[in-house]
Amino acid sequence: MISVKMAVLALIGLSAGAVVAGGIFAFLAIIGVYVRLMGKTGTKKHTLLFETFIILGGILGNLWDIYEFPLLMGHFFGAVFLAGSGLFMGIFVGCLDYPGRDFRKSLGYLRISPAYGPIFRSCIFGKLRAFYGNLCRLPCNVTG
Amino acid sequence: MKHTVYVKLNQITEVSHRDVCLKDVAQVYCREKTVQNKCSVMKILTVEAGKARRYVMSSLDVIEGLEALDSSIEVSNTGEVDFIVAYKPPSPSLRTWQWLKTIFVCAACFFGAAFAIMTFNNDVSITDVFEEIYQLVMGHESQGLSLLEAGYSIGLSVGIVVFFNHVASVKLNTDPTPLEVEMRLYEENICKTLIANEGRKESGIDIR
Repeated sequence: MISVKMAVLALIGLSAGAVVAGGIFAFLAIIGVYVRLMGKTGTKKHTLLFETFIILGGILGNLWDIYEFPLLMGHFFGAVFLAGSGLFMGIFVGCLDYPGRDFRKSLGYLRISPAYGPIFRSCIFGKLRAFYGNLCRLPCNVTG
Repeated sequence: MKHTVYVKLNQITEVSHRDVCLKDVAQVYCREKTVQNKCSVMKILTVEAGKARRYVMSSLDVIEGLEALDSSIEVSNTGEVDFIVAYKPPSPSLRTWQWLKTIFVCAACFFGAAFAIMTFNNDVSITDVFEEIYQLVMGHESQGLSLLEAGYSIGLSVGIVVFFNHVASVKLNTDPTPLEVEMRLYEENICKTLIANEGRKESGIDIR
C-alpha cells in the first residue's frame, strides 16, 4: 500500500513538473526577452547555446529553490555572485518591461521586485544620480 | 519576341559592398540565358559610403529598370513587393567583442530562467501545496522532502528539455527550436515595420 501511495506521489510530482515547465518556458520563449537580447547583440547564430543555458537555468534554479542546498562561497565570492546574479536578473526583468502592460495584466504570477528594473534602466541612460539613488534602496543585503 | 524574366525578390538582404546588383537581392530566371545574365547584373542601388543603413525598395522600381534594359523583356515578380537592402560597411569582426556579447546573453538566459522558475515556485507557495498533497495521499504529515519534490524536479527537467527540443547541441528531432521560430517571427515583424514606415513617409498621409 505504501509503495502504491509513493508511486501516486511520484506521478503527481512528475506531471506537475512537466506541465509547469511547459507553461513557464513557453511563456518565456514567446514573451520576447531572449529574442530581443539576441537581436540587439546580433548573436542569433548561438541560439542553441542560449537555449541550453535557459534549460540549465530552469533545472538548477528549481533544484536550488526546492532543495535549498547551501551554496557557500565565502564573503568575497558570495558578494560577487550575488552582485552578478542580481545584475543579470535585473537585466532580465528590465527587458520584461518591454512587452509592457499586457504581460503584467495577463500573468500575475511573475510578480517582480520593482527595484532592479529601474537600476538597470538608469544605468543604460547614464543617469548616474538616479542609479546611486536606486542602489541605496536595494532591498537585498549583499554581504549577508 | 518577348522574354519573360522571373524575379523572386528576398524580403531582406544584407550586403557589404556598395554597388548592389539584382542577383544580390533576388533569384532571377529567364529561358534565354543571355537575357538572364544581363538582368542579373543590373545595378539597382548604390549605397552611401561608410554608413550602415537599411534601404526600403519597391519591386516596381526593379521592374521599371529591367524593362528599360530591353524592350523585349517582360518581368514577372514571384517574390516580395517591397524589399529591404541592409548595408553594413565591411569591418574587421571583433571576435572578443562577439564572445563577450554571447557570454552576456548566456548569463541573462541562465539567471533569467532560474529567476523565473524560483519566483513561480515562491508565488504559488509550492512547498505548502506539496505538503498538502502529501498529507492527502499518505495520511500523515511529511517529514521534509519526499518523492513528490523529486518527481517535480525530474518532471520539470524533462518538460523543459522536451519543450526546447534539444539536449545541448543534439536535437531530438528536425523541427526548429522555439527560440529559432520566435527569432524568425521577430525579424519578419521588424521588416514589416520598416516597410510600413517607409510607405507612410513617402505618402505623407498619417492616421487622422
